Amino acid sequence: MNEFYIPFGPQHPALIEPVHIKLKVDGEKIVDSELVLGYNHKGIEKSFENRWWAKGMYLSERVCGICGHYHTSCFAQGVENLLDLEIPERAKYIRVIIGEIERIHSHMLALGIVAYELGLDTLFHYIFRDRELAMETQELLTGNRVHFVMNVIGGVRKDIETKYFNLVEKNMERLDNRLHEYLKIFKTDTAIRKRITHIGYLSRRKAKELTPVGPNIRASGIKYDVRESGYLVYDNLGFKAVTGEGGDVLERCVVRIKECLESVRLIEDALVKIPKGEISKSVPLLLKIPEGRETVSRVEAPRGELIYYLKSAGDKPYRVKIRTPTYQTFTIINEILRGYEIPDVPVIIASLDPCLSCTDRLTIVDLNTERERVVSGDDIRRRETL
Amino acid sequence: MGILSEAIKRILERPATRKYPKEKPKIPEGFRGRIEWNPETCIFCMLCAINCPTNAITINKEKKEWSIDIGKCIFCGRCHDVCPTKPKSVSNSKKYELAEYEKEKFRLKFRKSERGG
Repeated sequence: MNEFYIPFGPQHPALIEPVHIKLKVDGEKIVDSELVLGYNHKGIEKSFENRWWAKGMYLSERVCGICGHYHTSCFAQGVENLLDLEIPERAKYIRVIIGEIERIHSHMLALGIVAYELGLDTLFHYIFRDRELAMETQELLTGNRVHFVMNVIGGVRKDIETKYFNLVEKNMERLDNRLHEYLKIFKTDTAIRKRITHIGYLSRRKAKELTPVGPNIRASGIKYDVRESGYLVYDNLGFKAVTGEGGDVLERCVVRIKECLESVRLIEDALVKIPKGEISKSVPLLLKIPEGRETVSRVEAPRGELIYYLKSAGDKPYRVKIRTPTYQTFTIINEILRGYEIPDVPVIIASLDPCLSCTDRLTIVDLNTERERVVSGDDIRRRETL
Repeated sequence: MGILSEAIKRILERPATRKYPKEKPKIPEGFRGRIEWNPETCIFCMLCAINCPTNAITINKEKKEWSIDIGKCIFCGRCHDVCPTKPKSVSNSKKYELAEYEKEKFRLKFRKSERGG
């Protein structure tokens, strides 16, 4: 038997996210892979249960540093469903604008990481430089670069100022130019094309079977986007989902760039169409929701469909279940790694745009490993207080 | 070829990075920095302490003391949102360089004196 197991991660120079993948290899070729999650477990779902609804908003924002706005949007949308509350039109537009800017910077981060994994540090730096345009726009409209606390239950916390619209439009125009440039680079650059076409291929049939979400399924030719359902104001803005046919690493990058371009269009459109008016409905500080009422709320986060399940226990949630996009996307990891070589692994995983800080909310006990390490409760507590 | 032409175009440009400690960034409007307390308008209603998501704020009504643990504070601005006074007694300032060597220095205590302030 010439088969070996190669551990990949959780600390690995070529992969930044804390995920452990056991690769079964035959020479350089990957025969099988096994995913081990749980290195980033934070116990957030449990913490929701002893917080008031309004305080839970701030916790949900901290599930993820990159797509925090989508987590609060989803949580707030769920609580508003429970209360049968319709938020003002202007608040809906503000949620869309901030969310789409967040999508642009998240996708550009993913592109930068792919470039970095390819060894193209120059391209990585250029993409991150231009990502700064999106970050600056966020800072302009909300006041902060991350965790902007724009959502509250019943609307948004802070209005966006009309005096900045010109600057935002200018930034979006520049981003549009730059993104077209990157689309050209990814499509025509020989080094990139030769390296990542036909790598990490996911066929349309397999995609339908394993159902990843977000750009990863759309790159395989399946039009699945929650924004198509027209929640918030996406139907007013005439949103069109972007799909690709290739199903490989390159196609996932191209779909992400095209989605950024669509986001730029949505923001420009939203800035024109945004109505005047109030930004939030007043809700009591200590919200009470009838016990046992439950709901499912979903939004399209940058990485795909994000689902919150909420069940009420009066002034606090009885249960909050978060289904993050990366968790669903990891179903395809064996499919897209099998048959490729070890040097392809980092770039294939980077092309999925995984976000482990979202995903690791569950503990997985692996019974198959021969070596087991027991971490006592004291040990965990000691680490927490350090 | 795409990246190469881009690199040649940018070779004479200024660097995109800032020299941070020497060159301070421009703080945007609405930035949520360190929480500051205005003793003159505070009515000690406890709303900020009750509504704080991380219980960073503690209030002693008898001694007229208001204290905050910056190590616990997540700068969400909820205390500012719920404050009932006008002008708001608790608000986000624009201070952001808050690192300290000792944990004790994060616990800030303020007291309302008889004369106010």
